[in-house]
Amino acid sequence: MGYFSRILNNCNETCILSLRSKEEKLSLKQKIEMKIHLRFCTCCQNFEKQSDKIDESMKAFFENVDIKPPIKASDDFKARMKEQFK
Amino acid sequence: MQVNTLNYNSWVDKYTDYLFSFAYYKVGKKEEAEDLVQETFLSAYKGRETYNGTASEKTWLMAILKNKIIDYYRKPKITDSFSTYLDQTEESFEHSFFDQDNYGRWSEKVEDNYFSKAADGYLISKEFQKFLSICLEKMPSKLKAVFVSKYIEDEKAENICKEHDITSSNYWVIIFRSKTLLRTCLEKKGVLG
Repeated sequence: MGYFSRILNNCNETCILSLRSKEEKLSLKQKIEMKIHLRFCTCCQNFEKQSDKIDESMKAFFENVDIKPPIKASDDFKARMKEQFK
Repeated sequence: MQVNTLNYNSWVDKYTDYLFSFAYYKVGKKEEAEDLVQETFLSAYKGRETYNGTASEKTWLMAILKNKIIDYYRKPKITDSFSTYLDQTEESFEHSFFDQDNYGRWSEKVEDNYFSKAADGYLISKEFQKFLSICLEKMPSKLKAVFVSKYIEDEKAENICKEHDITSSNYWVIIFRSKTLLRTCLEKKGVLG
């Protein structure tokens, strides 16, 4: 497989580079290869967008419990909790 | 601050549902959420001398519970090493998501993209967060333990690698696979309602 063919088809590697680029500095070579691939690949562009959305929703998931429907503990559990201090 | 059995019982009445609900959404399993809440009350009871009344009781109990949840995710539950796990599951992962007849490119349909195009605020809506908790519950526990650390304390890759004793490249593979599984699950939820 030629160089460009490899660059254009390595979705797997590109997505991992894109994830890393949010936290680390990539080498110039990595950066260019990632940009070229992303320019031509709608699937990976798509992954990038969804990845950001996952970050956003996961942060909310762990920070804010009030936006979720409350779940009640069972009465049986509450009774057991009281029992342990009798 | 005098905490006797009477106060303890009133804590249970007042805060169990709130703490349980929080724990349930974090760990996704009823039994484990119950254990965490129980441990929280036990620690609170043992440490009642240290409660000085500046924070509300609820805030104080929540702080204890959050620490219990962090410990819960740090506990190594599976003895296999991460690299063995990743090697063993690589093939099935690649077959599920990549098209081997097309240079190994993504095999998913691009148009399945409902949640990244969703309106502002949808991602933090009750409906979407419910889907998210269902999908997290379905994730392999090995991946989930690492993936969740990223958000639970907003930690950087370096620290998470140290905690779980994994290499940086394995870490990014884990994050990549977790996100791939999660988005597939979320897209399905969105389509099926």
